[in-house]
Amino acid sequence: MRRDEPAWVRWALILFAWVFCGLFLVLPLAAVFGEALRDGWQAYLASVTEPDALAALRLTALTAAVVLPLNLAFGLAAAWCLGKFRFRGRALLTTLIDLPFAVSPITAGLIFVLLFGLHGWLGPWLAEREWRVIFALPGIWLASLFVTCPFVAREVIPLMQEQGCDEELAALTLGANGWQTFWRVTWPNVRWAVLYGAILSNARCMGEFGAVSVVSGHIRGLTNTLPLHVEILYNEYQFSAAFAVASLLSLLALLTLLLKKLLEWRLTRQRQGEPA
Amino acid sequence: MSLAVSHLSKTFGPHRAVDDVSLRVGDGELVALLGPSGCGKTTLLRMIAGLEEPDPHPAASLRFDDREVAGEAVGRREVGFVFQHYALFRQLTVFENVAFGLRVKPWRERPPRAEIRERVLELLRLVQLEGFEQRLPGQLSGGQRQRVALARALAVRPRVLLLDEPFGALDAKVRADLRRWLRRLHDELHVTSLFVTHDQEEALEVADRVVVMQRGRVEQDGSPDEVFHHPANAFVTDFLGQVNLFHGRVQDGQAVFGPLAVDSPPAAEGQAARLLVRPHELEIHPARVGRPGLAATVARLQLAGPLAKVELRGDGPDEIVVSLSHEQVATLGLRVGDAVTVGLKGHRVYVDDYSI
Repeated sequence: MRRDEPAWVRWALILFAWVFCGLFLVLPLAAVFGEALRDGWQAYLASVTEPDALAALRLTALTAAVVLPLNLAFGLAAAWCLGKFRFRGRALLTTLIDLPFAVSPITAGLIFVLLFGLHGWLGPWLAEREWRVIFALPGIWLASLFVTCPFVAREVIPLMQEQGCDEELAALTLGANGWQTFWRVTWPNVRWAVLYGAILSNARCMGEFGAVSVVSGHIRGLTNTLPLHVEILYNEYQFSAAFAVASLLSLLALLTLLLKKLLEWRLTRQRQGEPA
Repeated sequence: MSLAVSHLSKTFGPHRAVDDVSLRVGDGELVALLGPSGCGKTTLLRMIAGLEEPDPHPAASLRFDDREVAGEAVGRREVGFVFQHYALFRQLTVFENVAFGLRVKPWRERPPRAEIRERVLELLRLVQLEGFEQRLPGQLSGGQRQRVALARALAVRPRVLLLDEPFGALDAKVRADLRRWLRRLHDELHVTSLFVTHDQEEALEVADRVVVMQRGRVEQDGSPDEVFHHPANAFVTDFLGQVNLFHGRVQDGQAVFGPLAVDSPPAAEGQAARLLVRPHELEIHPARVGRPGLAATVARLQLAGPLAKVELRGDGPDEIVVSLSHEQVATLGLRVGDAVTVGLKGHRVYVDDYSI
């Protein structure tokens, strides 16, 4: 590439990028860990192993375990439908899939309260049967599902569109049934993209605050996820405990970044037609 | 196994892609479906494979020998389909691509592993790709991929082999080699084959029979010799090679094109007529000889190639192209700017509605 800019412009731009990243990304991250460890390792361990923190951790893990398989199933089915077929209303459906990204998480949470809350549309019907959705686990799962469902589909749809249906048609002419076609042809072509989407959706699911906050009810030890727990601790002026729990979420974010990077590398290799 | 298509049509919205087409491919025959892009040839091929559903019609039928297959699912028809862009399974090795059709058979029909291996290796030998078993499709050239696609289609011993523009994505030299190779392969295997192409040279060189299509209809069905030398209409004439086109009118039972007059097919007086002449059916004389014919001047001489091409500028808007042997060019001593007269050695006159 030809470089027209004088050296000092280039260096100034690079420096600016570094300073910006440092101020807005590295410094806050360092602050989280610094604050978390302010009272020493003992205090850190105590705050992340006290019963309410463990309960929040368990609930977050459980939520992820419930939401992720549903996301995978929905994302693959939606991508299959939108990426491989042409039909009336396809463009509208593709846009609708992105709706959860466009809607504020608070609104998303409120939607579920309006639907399933005591005074909501389905509230009385649920109350008669003593089924609780809002201020209980199903509400948390629904809200998490809502905000994370586009991730897998969005990763897989463009890939499927790019690959077209020729391979599937070829498999059909060779006598393969639908199941064989999916597992032998379609799945190997999209598996890395699916995993990529799954990791992003998982990270969002574990870190979701807004939507979950509205539907959870903040019952300690019962409906508190990790992000909600951080908020409670912070509001109670237990700063180092709050930061300690927050550091768990930050570690999760770092792990997600690492996995994402690895997968991106995999995906580019696959696009270039090399073994994957 | 013979293939018989009767009264198949296919409509996409307002567009009639295939319009009441009937054709037959005899047992062991290699037939080309030839036509410009968008003429419905690929749609027809996909209907035969079962990848498209024909429009419902009481007389529509699709038979392999005496068996009606129109209602059968793709996988049950036992056709081998070679896609234009190969459609190889990009995640599978060459070996696994070819073995695919055998591996997905229900377990009662599936051959044992050793047999599959033997069959795949035999096919790879046949398509001259021994030693490429462990490669991935991304690591092969276009011509190699095409041969893997062919081997994969042949692995299941199809009753009918269907090829969609099999050489369409290859460069000229590889195309020419591959099509001669395909012809030899067909002579060895004798599998009933139908292939789609828009390249008239390819169709004429490879096929036993050529079916020329336009706008969803069959224009002519005959041997390469027939369709080339006795084209049924102006479209086929035009499509099967370069032609010079002259516009004229019918006068006193003759079709008149400026100074040229030729016998006309029966037509009303004054009707528009078209004269189609291939470059090798024209002859050139120096103007000073005074032979009757079209007056023209030499605009360009193209001397590369087995025949010389002379481009002439006459009264009409289009250049007239004449092909001559290099000896004739030398004897005539042609130079750019020379005045010449053009005479007819052969021609075709059409007074139908078709216009180019």
